[in-house]
Amino acid sequence: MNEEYLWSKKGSDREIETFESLLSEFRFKEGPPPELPASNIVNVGSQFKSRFSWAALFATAAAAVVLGVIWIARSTGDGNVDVANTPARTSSVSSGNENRTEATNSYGPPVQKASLRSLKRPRFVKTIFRTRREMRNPQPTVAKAENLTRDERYAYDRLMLALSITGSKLKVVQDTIDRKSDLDQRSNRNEK
Amino acid sequence: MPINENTVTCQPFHLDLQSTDRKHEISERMGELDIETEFELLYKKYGPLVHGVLLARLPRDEVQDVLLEVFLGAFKNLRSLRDKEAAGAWLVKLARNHAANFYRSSRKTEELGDTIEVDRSSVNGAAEVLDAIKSMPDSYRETLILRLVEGLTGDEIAQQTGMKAESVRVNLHRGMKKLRERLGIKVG
Repeated sequence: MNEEYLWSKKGSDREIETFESLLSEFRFKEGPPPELPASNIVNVGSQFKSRFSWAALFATAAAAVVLGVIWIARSTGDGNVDVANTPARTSSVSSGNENRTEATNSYGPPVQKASLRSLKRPRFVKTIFRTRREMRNPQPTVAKAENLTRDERYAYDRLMLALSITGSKLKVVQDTIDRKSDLDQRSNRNEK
Repeated sequence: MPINENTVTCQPFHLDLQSTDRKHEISERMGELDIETEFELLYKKYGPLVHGVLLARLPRDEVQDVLLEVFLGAFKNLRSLRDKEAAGAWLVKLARNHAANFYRSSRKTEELGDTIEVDRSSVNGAAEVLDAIKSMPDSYRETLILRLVEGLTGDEIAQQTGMKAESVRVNLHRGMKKLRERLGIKVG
């Protein structure tokens, strides 16, 4: 047997060639490759998965938008837009004494001293997660002025003084009017 | 054709196919083969290999059907094949699995085999030789069929199946010796 022919078909070997010619009828007949079914090309599962993921993404985005709108509406809806609580303002606070709300305010209504708990809570937590007690007994709006600087505090005091004087003058005027009307009514009765 | 130094190993398949046209060659060099073209090349290059592996294990009538199943299964998982150089060994493994599944699923039916043929006059000698080869152990019959039926050289068998060249050489030598014994051919 020619080993070289058996390995690389170089040379010749009558016996092996006979086998080759006999067995050649079972050889692979080269033709066109099998037709590929369409289901192999279109992956239905991945399409469904991608559609589902898009739907989930859209739903998440919509939920985020709705939550954002609710949050903005609630934070602006209470009428206490706190300009002084912006980060630029709060960074200018120098001493801790100015952070506290004074219990005695000579011009405004009596103000409760802000508790440590309410000072530590972030604003958005206050806005969104209000406790029932807070809903029943809302804090006075003056408590928002707790983070004012010295100048702002002075301006705030002056404004409150002006408002107080104006209020008292209005009250005097109102009393005068009331008194005059009472006098008029009495005189009318006497005339009758 | 053996791999030489000029062969670029990062290509999807080696460009040693004589039937590969120029367009395929250019797109192959650029790595821009679409999956259907890739499948066509795979079928042309490894068709004889898979056919030989199946012929060594299955009845002749079933080989063509199972061959199509193997290649359709290969097409579904073609993208998962990272090393294109190992496509031959991968297909051989697929073909062996399909052959095993064929016997597993048709265990209850009676196997007629290749011995009963309506017209055996023309293929009598060939069928006898093939039966003799198929009665050998796995390693011998597969290598002999790839060499004598499919016409692959020893180098091609080693390269495409992923076997060592020495193993293929030994299998061919011992297989031929056993074939002679079974056919009653005396060594002159």
